[in-house]
Amino acid sequence: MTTYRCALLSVVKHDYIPRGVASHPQFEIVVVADDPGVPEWAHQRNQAFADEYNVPYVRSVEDAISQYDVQVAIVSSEAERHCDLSVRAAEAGLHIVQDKPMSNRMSECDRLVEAVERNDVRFLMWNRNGLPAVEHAREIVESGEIGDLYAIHVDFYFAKDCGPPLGSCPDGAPPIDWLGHQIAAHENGSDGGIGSEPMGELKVEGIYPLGYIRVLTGDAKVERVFARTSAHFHQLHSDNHVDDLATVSLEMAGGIQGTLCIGRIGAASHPDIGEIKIHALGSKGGLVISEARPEVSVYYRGQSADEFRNRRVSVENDFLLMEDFAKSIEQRRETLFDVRASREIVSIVDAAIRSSETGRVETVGS
Amino acid sequence: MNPVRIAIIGNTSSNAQYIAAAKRVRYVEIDFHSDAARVASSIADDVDAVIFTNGQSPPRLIQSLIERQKHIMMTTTEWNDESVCQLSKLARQNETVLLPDRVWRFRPDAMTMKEQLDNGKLGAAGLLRIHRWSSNNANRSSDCLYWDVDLACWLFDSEPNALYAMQRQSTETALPTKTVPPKTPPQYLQIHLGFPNGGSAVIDHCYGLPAGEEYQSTTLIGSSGAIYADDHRDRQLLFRGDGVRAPKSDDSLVALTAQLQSFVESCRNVGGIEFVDDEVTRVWRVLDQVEESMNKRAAVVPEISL
Repeated sequence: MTTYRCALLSVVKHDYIPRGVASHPQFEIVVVADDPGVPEWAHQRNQAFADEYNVPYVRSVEDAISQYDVQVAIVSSEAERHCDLSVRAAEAGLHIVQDKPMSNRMSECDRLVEAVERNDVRFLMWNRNGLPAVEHAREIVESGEIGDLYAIHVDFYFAKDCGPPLGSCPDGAPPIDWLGHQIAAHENGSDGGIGSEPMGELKVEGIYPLGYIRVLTGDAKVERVFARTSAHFHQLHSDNHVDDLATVSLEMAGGIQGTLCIGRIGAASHPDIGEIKIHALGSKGGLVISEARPEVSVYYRGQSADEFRNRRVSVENDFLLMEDFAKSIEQRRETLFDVRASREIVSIVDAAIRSSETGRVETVGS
Repeated sequence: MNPVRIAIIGNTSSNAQYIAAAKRVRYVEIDFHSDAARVASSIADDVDAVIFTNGQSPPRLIQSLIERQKHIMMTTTEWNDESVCQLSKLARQNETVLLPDRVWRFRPDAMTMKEQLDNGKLGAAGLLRIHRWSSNNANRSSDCLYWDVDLACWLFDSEPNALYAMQRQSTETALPTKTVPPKTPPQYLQIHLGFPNGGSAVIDHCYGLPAGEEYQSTTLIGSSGAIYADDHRDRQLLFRGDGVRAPKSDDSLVALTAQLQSFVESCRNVGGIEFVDDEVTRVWRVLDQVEESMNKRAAVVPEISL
């Protein structure tokens, strides 16, 4: 069994991705690397992760790639650096596992697609399609039990706070600094939008529900969208003119219709991580899936208010993603969430944000 | 305390529901009839109010009853803008109640949502998400659509200022709106409403489930809280060796009872007579825009006065 040596190119955001990669027996993190000019807080995070895994931290991406005999790059930087780091990895012949969003620029996505394909390397966008409920939904749909799919809806509400609630800051208070807030939010893992450029929740988290739609429709192309976005919950989003609540109507190839509702709805609005559901309709029936299940409930005296009472169990998402990634390398085939699929997601989100600005139905990719 | 005497004009099925509901309501006596014309000609003098449950409510008959100071509740599918304005004006002149059947406002989930919005616990309404699936409500698709649009406008306390709607039909037929009842009901509808406060309502109706039980899910997310009402949570498990079934207890009477109680209280002038013509016509405007959006396959930007 081949073991792949991995370079972790920046771990300033979610460390659950490198941990997920490293949990698979065929993947081993051997070095953490980043560019020398990144801010000190980024160096500190990279160093801390390297120390935990007892691997070196190298302040040069190219040196790390050339000196540590790596085959895989794991990219979990700020969103605006995702594609650049991945392109450099692809140019060095490395296969890539990347954090979401693919990028905050379509041009960067295009650059990465070209680099991945020209260098014939594998690319995996991290996703949640391996969660047991999503897998179960896929099996049911693919079995034909609900017939031909004609509508799909995803509710994706994650119950996290994000600084002061909207309208709670005193009059005249300065706008909340996006990057400063995201850096501070790292401790509780709510820094998915870390970077210099503010990003709304549709842009940051949209990959997950759109990923469900993609896998359950058999990769039906989203052709047109109508969307509404607003900053409804958090002062941070309002101050930085990005959404924390978005609703999207989708028209897909094959006459499939659907919707997506997504929001960072605040910790008070759900006892656990949030309400996440999939509704699918087919010619023979319907399917309602709770993405969080199976779960076990844990209650005890003195339990802290921010501890989830219901815990997901039987989760093999990390293993399934990496198992597929390993096979894609061995079989020289695309991954289940490859670079073109990732670009397509960004394109859908781009059209949705455009629609929310114009008030019109927008064509994806136009 | 004198009870309100109500004549119900309906069919066997609706009458049975009202019989059960009436047992749970104070200050009401109910008679049942199947012939609207007979009520108008010979029974009206013996009752205080008339409820039409099955579409036998031509405006002329309603007009005659209002002129005789009878309170009215009726389904909205037979109404149009002109008749509702005329009848509302007449009802105001005669100080009678004229209410649309909007029973979904009285569902426990909707009442809880309204209560929690009004008491401020949810903050500002941000998202109303409704999934309603059934196999047997196709011939009531106009009512269902009316009720959910009414629910959205009621909870957001506003008329939408953005709208996009899609449908799916097995054959090319008329749209299920107030103006053109469908010959063949749609299999599926989805409606996306945007409200002036930035919030949205996203509603999907399926009328094409295989015969059996229906499914409903309603979520309201406000700026400081949320309410989830989902049949998914409320189903029990039944094992019979041929696969698991998930039946749900029947709570259909709860909303009907609450609506009947509310109507009775309006008739008894508890808290004053409620006039709702503006609320009815705003829903119709939205339904017109739904039809326009479906026909044009484009978003509609309604002009509304705030």
